[in-house]
Amino acid sequence: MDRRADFVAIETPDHVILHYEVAGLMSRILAGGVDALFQAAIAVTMVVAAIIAGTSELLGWASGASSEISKLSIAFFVILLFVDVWGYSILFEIFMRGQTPGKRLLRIRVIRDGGYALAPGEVIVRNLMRIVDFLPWGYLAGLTVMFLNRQNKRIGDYVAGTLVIRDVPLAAPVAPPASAHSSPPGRPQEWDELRGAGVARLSPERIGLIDDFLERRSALDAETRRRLARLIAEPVAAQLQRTVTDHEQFIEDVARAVRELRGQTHET
Amino acid sequence: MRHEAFLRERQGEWTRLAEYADRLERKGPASLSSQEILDFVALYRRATSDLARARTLKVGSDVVDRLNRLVGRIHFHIYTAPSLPAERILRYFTNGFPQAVRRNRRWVAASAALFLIPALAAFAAVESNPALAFVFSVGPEYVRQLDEQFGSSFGVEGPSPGAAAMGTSLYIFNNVQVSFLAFACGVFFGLGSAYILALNGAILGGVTAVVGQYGLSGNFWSFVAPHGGIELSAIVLAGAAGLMVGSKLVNPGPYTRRRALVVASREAARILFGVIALLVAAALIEAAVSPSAWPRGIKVAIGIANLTGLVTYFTLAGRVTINSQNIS
Repeated sequence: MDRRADFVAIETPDHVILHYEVAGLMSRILAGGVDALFQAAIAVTMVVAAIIAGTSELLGWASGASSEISKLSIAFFVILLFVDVWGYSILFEIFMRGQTPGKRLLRIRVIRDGGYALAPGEVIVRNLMRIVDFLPWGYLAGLTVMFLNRQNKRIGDYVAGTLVIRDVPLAAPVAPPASAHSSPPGRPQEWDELRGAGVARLSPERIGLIDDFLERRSALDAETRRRLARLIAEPVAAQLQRTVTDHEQFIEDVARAVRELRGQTHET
Repeated sequence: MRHEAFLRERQGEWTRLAEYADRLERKGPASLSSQEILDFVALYRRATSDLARARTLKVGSDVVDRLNRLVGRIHFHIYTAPSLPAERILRYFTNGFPQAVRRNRRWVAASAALFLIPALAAFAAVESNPALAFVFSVGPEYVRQLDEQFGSSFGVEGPSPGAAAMGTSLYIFNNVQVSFLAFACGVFFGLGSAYILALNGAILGGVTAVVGQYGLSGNFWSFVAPHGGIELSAIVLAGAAGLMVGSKLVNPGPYTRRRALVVASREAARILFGVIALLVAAALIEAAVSPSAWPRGIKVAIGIANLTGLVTYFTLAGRVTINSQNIS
């Protein structure tokens, strides 16, 4: 999966390589659109609230006595609007661990290069840099830069050292169901014969191939699965001098025989 | 087989780890007991080596994918940046901010010069040749508007207090915009910051001269004085942050340009927090005090007190550190 272009590999301080899927251009544009709608909704709500709060005569340019209280409420209103325009992304990304409501909806998240959680400073830098990404209009500069690099970074991401990734839901790895691995019981005779035929002489590469096939076959479509089974089974069958009708069954049997052989050598 | 044995042996721990991660995300770190945290970290360590092993063993790509996701998500939580407790914020303003400004005083000085020299030049030019006022699109019509603005907001005359209030809000938005532009445009090798600083300096100098020629200085200064010093400091400091970032693109030093940019922006951020605080303070004063009908003397006194306070703060605050740990 490291060969896919939309993944970045990151080495952690524990020297583990982690792969992150870079958020796509479209997810980011849509997330931005959703956030813009939310911001507009907040602004509209505030204007309505201001009108209801009785500052309408001040907003409406109509003449009227401007008491100190009205002025203070205007000041309050202006600052809230200022927070909506400039603080929306900054506050959400700080307090929602790199997500705004739009990013959460689109399941993407901002992280620091290296897979760390964001520090507030990086959030501020990447969001103030929106001014430059926006140039000359409509985020043209930012989108162009995003097109030109594999990690879909806009200018703000470069300056702040951040990265937007696809935020996948957590799930513990699950071992494939037992039936996929252990052969059905009741073929000990077949396994004995295979041992007699010399499965022990099969090369580790070939056994690895068999392991891989059994591991992944459930993900293959029927046709590929049949073809691969034949490709893998035939040379093994030739080496063991056996005739095979059901290739997949044969592979299972060989795997089981190899395992029993190993089990025995461990016991002795 | 070895794959199967590996998966079966480790699966229980992975499930437990995922449960911890889930709780951590839903309820926060406080929901884990100290014993559980130790267990969680131990599980994480083992999972990281499992991931490496899973790749070597070439177990199914689905397992590697899920394990990668699990470890990646927890990595994000374990190596998390410190949150924002009140104490840290306080320490930033008592120590971190003034120290960051002093540490980068060359850039602050450069930024101030880029702002003030054009301001003085424009002021002198308009003083010596009033016809130059048109350069700043400051015709008689604009001055009449200004007069109305300052007059009405001053509470002396003027038909529309609402206009004054709206005008004030526009000023605040504009000044915030200028500060943020002065930083962000630094990414153009610092030239953008220089341009924004010089342009706004020249406009300020020019308008000040024009206002004086029309005999409106009194209203003008009583409007500008209470918040002006704070606002100009914010613009100059934001410009300095922009120059710091831009200069690293020109001369990245021992780093690659890309890396140097990130290092410089971390340092710039230490100034930007303060800039935002200054802008909020300036906006509060500009909205509440500047347009008020308070006596001119008091408003000018507030302005002088602010400036003296700021200079003292930036030169003296945080000189004595209790310990060497600075807020970042």
